[in-house]
Amino acid sequence: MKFEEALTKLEEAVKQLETDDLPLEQALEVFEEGINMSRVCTQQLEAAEQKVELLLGVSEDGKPQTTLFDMKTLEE
Amino acid sequence: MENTEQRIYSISDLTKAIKGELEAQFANLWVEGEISNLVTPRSGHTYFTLKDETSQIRAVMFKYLGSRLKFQLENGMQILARGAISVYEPRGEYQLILDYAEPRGAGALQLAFEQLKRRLAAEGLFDERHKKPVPLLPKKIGIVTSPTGAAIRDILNIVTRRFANIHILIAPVRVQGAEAPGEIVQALEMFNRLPDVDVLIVGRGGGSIEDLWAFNDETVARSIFASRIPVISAVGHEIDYTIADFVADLRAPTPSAAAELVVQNKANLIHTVAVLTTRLRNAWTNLLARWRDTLEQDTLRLQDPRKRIREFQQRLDEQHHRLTTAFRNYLVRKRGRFETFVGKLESLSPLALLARGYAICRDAETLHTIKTVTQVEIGQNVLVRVSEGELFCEVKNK
Repeated sequence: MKFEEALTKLEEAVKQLETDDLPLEQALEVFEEGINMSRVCTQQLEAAEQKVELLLGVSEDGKPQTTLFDMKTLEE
Repeated sequence: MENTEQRIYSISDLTKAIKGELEAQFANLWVEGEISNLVTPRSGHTYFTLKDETSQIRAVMFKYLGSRLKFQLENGMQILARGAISVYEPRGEYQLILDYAEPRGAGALQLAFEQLKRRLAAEGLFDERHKKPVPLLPKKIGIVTSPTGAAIRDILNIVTRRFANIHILIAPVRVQGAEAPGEIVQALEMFNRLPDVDVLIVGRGGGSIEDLWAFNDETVARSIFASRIPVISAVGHEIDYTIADFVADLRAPTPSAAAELVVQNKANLIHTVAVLTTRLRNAWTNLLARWRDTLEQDTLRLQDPRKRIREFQQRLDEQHHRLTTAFRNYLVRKRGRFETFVGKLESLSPLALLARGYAICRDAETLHTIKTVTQVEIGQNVLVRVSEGELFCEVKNK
């Protein structure tokens, strides 16, 4: 799921719980959905790892050919 | 005559000949020079002299053309202008009639820039409807820039300083010179063949307008437009605007700003998600509390009628008891009174009187009770009621 989508769903869940007068079972569903979306968002926020690479080319089947970028080359 | 073979011109002919030659040869030319002696008479036309270090030429810009310029002509201003030589025959003078001018500095480049900008705008390449949204949380960012330039240094500084944890792919390209546009285009195409790059940053650090020129290149503009991946332009300083900025999905004023945009977003998003999650939990807790209250109230309301029913029951029993007791008492009391009454009744009964020896005398015809002697005549028949019978009698005397 895209981050934007999960965030939007989380926002909707919050709004529903805060404003709508839902019956207990429906409210529980909304709450659980919200918690799930919060988890999806957090996972995506935490997932990515820092990596800096140089892109040298892309193979025929769409695979990147890369090499690690040496940050020292930037130091003056 | 010494010069029989030589043609003798009249002044008019000569002037006409010069006019023809000059105006044909200099019908459409670009000229660069400094403005001086500028006057704008009431006609609205602008007359001035264009000069350089050693020469000068008179020039005029007619009102309707002058008003189309995006700037005001001023003394001392260097301009690049387009026009034609015109000879004014009555005075034998020539001058430049200009139809376009722009401030010099980057004159020719500026002209090319304006022209390309106008053309691409007309084609709709800058239209808002083509702008792709830049993802809130890009996981993989492609950067098209020089691997040794100021732009990549600024971007990586910001990204690493803030622990952004972003996967960065750099496509190394030259960002100035004749080769630059081709390399930038190729890099953009390369990134677009990768399936998982979320956003591209295309740019370079500051420099002269000539240095930034690759980003005013038409092929670069078209490949940015064609990119499937959203493109953030980040060229030079805040004041520098390039064609790439206009066609990109988002313009960052500088490469640092582009990096901040991405990184800042992430920090904000962590905060946003945390706040939303807290609100979600609070809303849920509040709902639960509210339901608990309602439940308690409902329970109270449920208990109440049972209690009240018991109370009613008790009252009913009481009332029933009181009622039956009261009725019984009533009956007893009534019975006593009845018996007394019956006794009284019996004592008052005429039959009892008769039994004691009294008699009742009645007129035999009218059956009226006779209480005095005046009620009867002698010889009249009367009925005399005694105990257990009646006597038919005749009054003999009174």
